[in-house]
Amino acid sequence: MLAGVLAVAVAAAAAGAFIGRGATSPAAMSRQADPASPAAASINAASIRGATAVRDQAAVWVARQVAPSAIVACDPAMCAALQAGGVPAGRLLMLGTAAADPLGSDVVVATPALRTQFGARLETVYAPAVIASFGSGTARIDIRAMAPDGAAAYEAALAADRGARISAGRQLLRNRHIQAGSGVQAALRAGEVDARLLAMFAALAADQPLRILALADPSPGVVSLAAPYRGAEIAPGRAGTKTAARARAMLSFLRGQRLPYLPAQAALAGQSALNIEYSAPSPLGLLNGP
Amino acid sequence: MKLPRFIRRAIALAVVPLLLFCVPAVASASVAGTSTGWVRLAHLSPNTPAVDVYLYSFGDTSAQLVLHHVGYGAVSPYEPLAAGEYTVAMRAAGAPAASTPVLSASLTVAPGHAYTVAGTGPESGLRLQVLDDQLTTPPGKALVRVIQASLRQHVVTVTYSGDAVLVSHLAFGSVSPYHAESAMTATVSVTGGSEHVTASVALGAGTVHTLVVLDGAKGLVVDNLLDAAGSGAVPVGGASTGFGGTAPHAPPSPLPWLLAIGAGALLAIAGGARLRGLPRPRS
Repeated sequence: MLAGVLAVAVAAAAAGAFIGRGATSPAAMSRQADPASPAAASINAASIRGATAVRDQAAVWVARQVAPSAIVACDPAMCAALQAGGVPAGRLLMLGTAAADPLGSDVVVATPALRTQFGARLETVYAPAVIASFGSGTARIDIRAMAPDGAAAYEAALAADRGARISAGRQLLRNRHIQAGSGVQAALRAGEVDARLLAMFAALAADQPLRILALADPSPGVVSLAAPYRGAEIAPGRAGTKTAARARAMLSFLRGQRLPYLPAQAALAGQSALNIEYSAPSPLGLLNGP
Repeated sequence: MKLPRFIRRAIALAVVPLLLFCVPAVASASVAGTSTGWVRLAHLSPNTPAVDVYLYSFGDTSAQLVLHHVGYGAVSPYEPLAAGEYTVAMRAAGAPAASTPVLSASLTVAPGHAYTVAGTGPESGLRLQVLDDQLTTPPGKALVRVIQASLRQHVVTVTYSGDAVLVSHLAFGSVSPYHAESAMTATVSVTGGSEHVTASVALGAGTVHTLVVLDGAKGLVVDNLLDAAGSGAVPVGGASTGFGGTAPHAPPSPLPWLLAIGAGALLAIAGGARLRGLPRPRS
């Protein structure tokens, strides 16, 4: 019984926290008009702090990981957090309580408020794929990729993209210039690697042997076909006196690319390895041409 | 009738090498038929300087393709490529060797399929389009499509044989679908906002054509690319204005060599047998 009461209190507090600063929603008014007991108030304060922390985590992730050209849809409180986190206001599509849909955006930050506002349509119509998730329970914040042509078209494109990633990954495993450990091999075989990384591996391996040391997963909280590995640690395949020079040549190649093949991050890791990371969401269809 | 023993042996000896030669020939033809596609590259961006184009194979580092100094209007012959995934990169022709080729597109080469990878659009918005080329036609028909690569005439309409419209208001950088036509020699007319050109195109049954509308020195130019010439098999045709020279040639038939080898073996064995039947000279 007590657990049930606590759960309701936490959910109510979280919902209030995500509706917005200075908002006048019914939930917020109810909270002001009907103050809780000291114990419940303490729980509310803790849950609000927790919800705020989750929101800040989501904001930091979006600022660092989402493509700089992507339009991000958010509720007013989340938009404020994103702007504080460094996302320019021009990239934010603020969804007030009267907003009918998040169309026009590339990514939706699905806070409890937006989930309540759009209901099941958020997942079944507008943005079927979760590419990162923060927190848990009702306070959870999901980062969702928009499906501009509808959920069905998105799912079909995602399935085709995964098939192409599997095919491309298996071809890379036959490439005698590419060395990879068993974990990386399994991910390549399963189509769990971003198409941009796959294309870059092929291009880099055309010139010199390449070791894929590890794949990085910068999409927390999800195991999804829509969130493949977008990061990798790589190194020249041949060790020797020229290894550092070869690593620098790889870095130069990576930084010389243009979008969508230009990594969001590319840097040397020590003398002879590099870290690469591409932005989210992973584009679909790069390997499916024509 | 029973043949003499030495003749039977000679036939056996001649036939065995023939079979040994024939098996790999058949096998290699089969492999080529099931694992090879064809790709040609086209530079169709009028104000973009010449480029070097690279194809990197995902699976085979020996299956790379590099074409140097591809200028506007140039279309390479089809190059055979192992089926699989490729990423395409470009670099300005003549750029320093250390400069970076920029990845531009990916291409899935399916066995038995042909593709045109075309750089289209203005230089500021240059993009690589991967076009799926048809190799076969409906029975008795020809297929024709149009690539609009004229920047001076942003929109063109292409008609043939008087007033039949092949494609209307085709915008710069666009490609029309293939259009099936009866076999004939057609007078194709291309009309832009301020320029007009006609060209005679022989549309043979089973042939597949891509008409490329280009900016020429003296106005519009129509380039007739023969994508396929009726067999539906290996495409070899390059552009009439292409730089050519790299088109694959079908390997010569091994049959004359095999017959010569067989006949030679027969003669050698027969000669040997006759020599063996002669009395040995006394020392």
